[in-house]
Amino acid sequence: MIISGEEIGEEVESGRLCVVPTPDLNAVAKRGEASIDLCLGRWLVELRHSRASSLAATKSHRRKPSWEAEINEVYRLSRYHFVPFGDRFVLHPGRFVLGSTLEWLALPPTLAAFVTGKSSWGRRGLIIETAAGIHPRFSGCLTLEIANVGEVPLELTPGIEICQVFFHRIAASKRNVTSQFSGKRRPVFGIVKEDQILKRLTQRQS
Amino acid sequence: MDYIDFTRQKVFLFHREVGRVRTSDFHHAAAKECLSILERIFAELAASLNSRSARRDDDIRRNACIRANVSILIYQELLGFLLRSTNVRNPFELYEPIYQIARDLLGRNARLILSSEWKFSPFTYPAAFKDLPGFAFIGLPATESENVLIIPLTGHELGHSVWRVHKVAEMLAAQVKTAVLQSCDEHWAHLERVVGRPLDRSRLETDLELRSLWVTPFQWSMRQCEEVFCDLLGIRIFGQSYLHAFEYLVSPNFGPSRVDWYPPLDRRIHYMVLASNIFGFEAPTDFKERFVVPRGHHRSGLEQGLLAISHRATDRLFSAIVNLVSDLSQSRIPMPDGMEAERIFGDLQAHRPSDGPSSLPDVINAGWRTFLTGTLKFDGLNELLCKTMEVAEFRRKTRGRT
Repeated sequence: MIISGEEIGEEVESGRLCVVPTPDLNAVAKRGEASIDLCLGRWLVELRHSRASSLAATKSHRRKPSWEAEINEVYRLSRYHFVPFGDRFVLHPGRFVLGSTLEWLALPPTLAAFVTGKSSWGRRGLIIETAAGIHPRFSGCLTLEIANVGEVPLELTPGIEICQVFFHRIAASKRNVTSQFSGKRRPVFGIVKEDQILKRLTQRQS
Repeated sequence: MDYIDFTRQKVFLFHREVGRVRTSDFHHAAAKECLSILERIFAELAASLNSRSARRDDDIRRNACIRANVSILIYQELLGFLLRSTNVRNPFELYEPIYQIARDLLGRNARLILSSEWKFSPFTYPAAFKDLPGFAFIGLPATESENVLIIPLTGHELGHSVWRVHKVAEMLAAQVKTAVLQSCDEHWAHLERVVGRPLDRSRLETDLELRSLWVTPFQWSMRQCEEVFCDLLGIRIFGQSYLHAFEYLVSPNFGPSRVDWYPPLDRRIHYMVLASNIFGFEAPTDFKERFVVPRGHHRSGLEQGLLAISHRATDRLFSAIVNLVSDLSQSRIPMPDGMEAERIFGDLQAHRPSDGPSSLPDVINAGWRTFLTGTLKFDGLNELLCKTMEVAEFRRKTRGRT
């Protein structure tokens, strides 16, 4: 069940849930909403245009001589932008960029969450998030997949409220989930995990 | 074609390169201001090479070319430094708090460029450009440029700017001279022995030959005092984390200093420990033992004597330097807050950034404590420290706003 704004406040005040910088929890409770708004951080990353014909999604589809080379290719093509507070980043129609939330989230074992866009941005053609799930014990800034599917350039200003997070309770698992995206302040492309079924399918084909 | 044509071409290309560098993604205004000044300098050089007097007079033409060549030599390195300040490996989150410290120490018009050096050496004096008097250039070693834990060393680098802007050398000059003359007295027998004849002490300040016996140690001691001043200022600003950062970068040693007059490592450490105690920060009990004093270069007896005089004079100046650092920082820089560092340390132990308008020294002191306890790996800790500073900036900038 999704928890209320008051419950989010209680989780934060008890120290079980960490949101830094902590939003105004009284305002969240007063609004009666079941989510908290998160702001855009200052780091953005995009993939540069390059001579690479394509990027392999998984290990078995790699084009480079090794999977490490394929991963390095992603890092080589990553272009980071740092936007100071008060400045802006213009996302042109049809362009895609990874951003991150200004807030650092650390979830306890008993909470999971999902992040969604805000309708005011969506109506301008800005898609915020497509991989919305946040697992328990995640700790870090959320990476946002930001795309401008509208027809006009959009100005992204660090500190602006860009997405919202809903939390829901879960039965705590004893296992510690480790995520390659945990512990990061900047957005990262990361590595697509090996898909065992796909691997078998690919091996049978060859 | 002759050298004036070549020089015109070189100045033109430099000017054009400044324009190209200007198109980079600078995150702070200071670098662009610096580039504007470079553009003006090279426009003036181009004008002087094309002036009527340069066309008519050989001497003027030659001097204009030499001046242009020297300017290219000096500012080429700076241009690379400015370009590297845009590198996303740099911890941009830390620019604002370091800039704040720079402004507090150097005045509201201070400009800060934070970048990285591929030729970093902890034993060199930073570049100072007479055409860029308000600028402080801080370069971190390129391979360490994302390492927040070495940021306390920026206190040392800022110290060189404080030394110039507040004319500390002028404040200390008379005391240094007195200390050097006293030290000359103490080493008189050694000096006579290495010179090979009796020397008239009463003519020390008037005899041209004898003057070198105190003028050289005076110059060395002034430079040593500047280094000690910078270390002490770094400690005053950052507290214990300055010692940790220094140890991280320098211990056990870097081999013998490339310049003879640089303060010896053991003396530097001795001064740092003394100053830490005076400022109220406890230095690790075995701090001195964490370094190994490198064997020095072979020197002549006279050089050894002059160096000993300069070292002894610098020893005598220690208290005066402590007082100067205290006076210059007292109303400008708050003391590191142990309680606040303790609070931040608690958050870091919980693997989360700290919320609040924390000061950079408190965050780094907490960071070093966390690093030394080994509870967090370097990369994770670095991320948390950067985020903590970013949140502090966010809090400061949004304070009182709804």
